[in-house]
Amino acid sequence: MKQVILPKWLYKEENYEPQQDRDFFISKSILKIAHILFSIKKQGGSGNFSAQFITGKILLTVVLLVLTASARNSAFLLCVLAGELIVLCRLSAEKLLVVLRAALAAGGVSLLILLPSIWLGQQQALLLIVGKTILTVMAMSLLVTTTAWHSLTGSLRFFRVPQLLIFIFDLTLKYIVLLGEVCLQMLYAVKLRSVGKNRQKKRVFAGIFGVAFLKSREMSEEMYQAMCCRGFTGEYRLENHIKLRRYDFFYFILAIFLLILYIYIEGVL
Amino acid sequence: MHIPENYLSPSTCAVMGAVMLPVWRMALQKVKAEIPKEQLPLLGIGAAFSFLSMMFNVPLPGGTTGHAVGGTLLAVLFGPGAACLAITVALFIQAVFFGDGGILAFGANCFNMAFVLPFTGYFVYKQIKKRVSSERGEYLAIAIGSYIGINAAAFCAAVEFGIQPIFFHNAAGQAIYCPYTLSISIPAMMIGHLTLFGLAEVVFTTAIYGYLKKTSAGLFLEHKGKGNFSLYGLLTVLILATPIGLLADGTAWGEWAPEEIVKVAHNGANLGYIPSGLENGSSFEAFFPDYTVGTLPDLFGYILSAVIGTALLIIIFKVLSSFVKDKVNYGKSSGGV
Repeated sequence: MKQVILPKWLYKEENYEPQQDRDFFISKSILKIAHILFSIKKQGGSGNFSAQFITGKILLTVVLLVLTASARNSAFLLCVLAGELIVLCRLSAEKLLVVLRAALAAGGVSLLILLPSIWLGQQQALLLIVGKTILTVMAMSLLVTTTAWHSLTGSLRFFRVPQLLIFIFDLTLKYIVLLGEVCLQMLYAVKLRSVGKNRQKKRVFAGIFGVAFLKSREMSEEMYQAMCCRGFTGEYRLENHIKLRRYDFFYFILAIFLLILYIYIEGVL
Repeated sequence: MHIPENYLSPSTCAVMGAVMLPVWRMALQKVKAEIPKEQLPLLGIGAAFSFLSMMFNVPLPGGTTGHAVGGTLLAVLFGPGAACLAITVALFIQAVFFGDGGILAFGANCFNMAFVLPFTGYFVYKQIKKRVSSERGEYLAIAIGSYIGINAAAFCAAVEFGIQPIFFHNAAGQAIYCPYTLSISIPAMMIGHLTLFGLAEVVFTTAIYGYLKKTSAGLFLEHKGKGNFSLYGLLTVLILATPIGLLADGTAWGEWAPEEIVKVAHNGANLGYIPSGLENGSSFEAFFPDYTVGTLPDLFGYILSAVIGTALLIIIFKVLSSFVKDKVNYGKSSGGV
């Protein structure tokens, strides 16, 4: 058997330490896109199109948002807080944390933005807006965490949103996942392949997005062909009609109650 | 640039939403007429692309990063109407599912980022491109277009913020919504957008445009010579003037209307003065009896002028859309779609 002679350089101990490079933008983008993919996938966003309608829930949330935004005294806001906390209590700890974190983060950002207004003598605006921000973000994330996203977009039909737009919404949610995965793979590839200082790195992001765009055109062509195979003639229609369920009326009554409460509190004080 | 909830009054939000309605209608009609049905899925996928591009961090000199909206790029790639829809959908998903930007402020956010940005950017791009035909001129056109586009959008947002304390404050002069006046909100918004965010938008737009131009040049042929660009210019100027016009009208109304409004408010108690002809959202303010009468005229003037402005806009849009339709039919018959 022939003896293999290893070249000399293989014996040498190497002390290669790659130079530090700033790749904030890649890491940040990876984190952000991964987070979004995670949250869409977690609630089955890329799942079924035939979701339940939640018209009542949406209506209640919208009424709550409008009333909270236009409220001028803390009594009403405290009532809203009480209501939201009751709903919050019924959530699982995991969902509860998501809602709380979102609300508090939004409140914190709001506080930061409004802090300088103290010097303008606008302390009331500070308290009012921070409080309202926490309440409205909490209400929205309660709605979002307790419902499937396709139910949300589907229920928009009740509010006379054109079919084409709802179709686009559903499609967008699906394709954020698909395109996002493409972007993520490319970002990982760039991150793994650039050891040490890589001057090309900054140029890479144009490539990632260029490819993502070209890929999106490709996907859209494929989607169209798939639609044609299933009998698509250029007209987009959803067959099932909007049915109001008993559940919805419960929310309607709650919304009316909230309105009466609002008129009472804001009117008396 | 996403305006969060509670910084704009519900009536401002309603006005902005009302302004966006004809814009969305027009965009939908234009897209339906212009885009062949083969490309219908592209709208959703374009929206996904737009959404993801807003998530992306653009590397900037000095190791910093910034976000881009990419509105001008989308307008150049898909046409401004489709870009408007794509960004609207992206903003909707951000607002509803990710808490970026308020639900009530959705109309205002769409006005700034889905309408003013792509239309202004596209208009500037086309105007420069028409005059400078070299390839470098084209890059210059898209760079300047995206820069002006994002700054126009930021300016609109600043004006929307800045008019809040003028119209909405209580008896003690305490602001109810955004407490910063125009003199603070405009510099605060514009400094960031004239420098960092503007740069991010330019880098984002030109880099991707350059890449696509190199890899698939055929992509850009289809948009050539389509549409009436002086129309976009007119629309853009009109819309840009609206917030400023609202401001000017509002104060003018406030100067002469007090006596009338006081009378109405005294006779009809709380609900008596809800004007039935006004927009839905505007009447929410009318529930406030402790909102001092002295400030009501401002509010009424503001809303009234806004409604007049909106109605005028709708009329203008209707008139203009008749032109647009003609154009489209002509293109259709020659294109054979």
